[in-house]
Amino acid sequence: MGEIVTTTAAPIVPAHVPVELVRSFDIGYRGPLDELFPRLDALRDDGRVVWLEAAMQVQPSGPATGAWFFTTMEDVRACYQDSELWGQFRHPLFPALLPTTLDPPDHMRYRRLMTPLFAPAAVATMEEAITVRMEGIVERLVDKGACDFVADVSMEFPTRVFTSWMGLPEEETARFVMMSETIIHGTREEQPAVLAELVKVLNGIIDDRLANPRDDLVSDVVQFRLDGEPLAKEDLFSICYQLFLGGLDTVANALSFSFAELARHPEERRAMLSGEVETAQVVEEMLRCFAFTQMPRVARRDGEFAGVHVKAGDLAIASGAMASRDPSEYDDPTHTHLERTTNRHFAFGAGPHRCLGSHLARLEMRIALDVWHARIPEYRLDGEPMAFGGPVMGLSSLPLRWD
Amino acid sequence: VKVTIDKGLCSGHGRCYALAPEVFEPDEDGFSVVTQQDVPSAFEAAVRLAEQNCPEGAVTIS
Repeated sequence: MGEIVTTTAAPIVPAHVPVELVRSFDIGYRGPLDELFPRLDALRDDGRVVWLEAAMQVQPSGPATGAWFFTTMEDVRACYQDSELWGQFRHPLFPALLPTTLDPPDHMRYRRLMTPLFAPAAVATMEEAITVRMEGIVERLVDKGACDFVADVSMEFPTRVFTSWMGLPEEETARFVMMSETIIHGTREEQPAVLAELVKVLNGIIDDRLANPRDDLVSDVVQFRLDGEPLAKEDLFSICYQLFLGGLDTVANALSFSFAELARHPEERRAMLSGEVETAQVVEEMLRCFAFTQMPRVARRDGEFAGVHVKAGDLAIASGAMASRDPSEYDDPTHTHLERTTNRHFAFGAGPHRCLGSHLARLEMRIALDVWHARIPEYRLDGEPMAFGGPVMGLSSLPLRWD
Repeated sequence: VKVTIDKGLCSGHGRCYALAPEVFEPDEDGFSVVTQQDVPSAFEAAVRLAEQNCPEGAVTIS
């Protein structure tokens, strides 16, 4: 979260990192969308692995920390799958995320509590509630003839879906959007106050549902039992904090990338509208081409990986984009091909920490695409889309116009 | 052909049971279960798609 490098102190490169692998590449890029992925793709020319000397701002001040960065699908997947070598990174400036910041075997004990709630059958029961929310958003926009898709749709829709499922008041959607954006993408100066506010909101709803359980996700969470015992209050908070951050921002970014692409490709929209390509397949290809998560891992011991010596404590970044756009794995990987049938993308990561919400995210994306295009089948860009890099990449603006 | 799922690798992406629901289904946690180890020829193409779309490389056809 907030791994935006803000200091100018010179990075310190550890002695075991070969100097020829060190790159000053800025992973927290901000600028036009058209450069976001090509910058990353260009790193493939530098070989199988590089060391990004200023990858993360781990401490509040002082130099940024470097990290290994793998450029092939094979190595990114191996990094995600090998949780014995590559452990979870817990950012010292932010609360723990449960079960995310745990390593096996503890990780699976907590994750097993949550998997039934996010399994395909459970998620499918939410289809109508999700559809109603997207219809409401499109209805308010359709006669306006223009919008900023990021502000007007892609943040608001998943926030309404997810906070209402959690049990948070839907009328405070704008406040929750601000909190999620600030914690994930904001500056170190603005984060502490917002984090304190979110802690209060989540602990408030946890206390309420402990006393008065209802039919919502937080009520399910407070009733979890691990070996027959209720969870500690701080664990309940860490679960709800992870749900809040995971449920709002990620679907938003996936939608922004998808609509930016479709705005420029009327032939793709028409293939989807005519039924020539199923919406579910469009979702997969958008997730592949614009795989936007680049998750940190930390070496649990010394070892060999991707042809380099890794020391315990080294950070690595497992980039879904590098895995999902690897030309040795896919034909013409940097362009969308809706008819693509071989598509084992890494938008949701892989291995034991594979995104728990992936089935819900896919459903939300399919519904958003279907509902929008039923009402607004033709639209175009109305300005240049702007993007940001980092551990969770996304768009900051996407101006659209229609007649 | 025969199909197997490596339970150590499957992390519940669900691509196989989306693409070949006649042969794979989710368990209550969303991990994949093979329902027909000996794949009827009618579903062979779908099972190959499942193999090609599994991010973990957990689906094996023999």
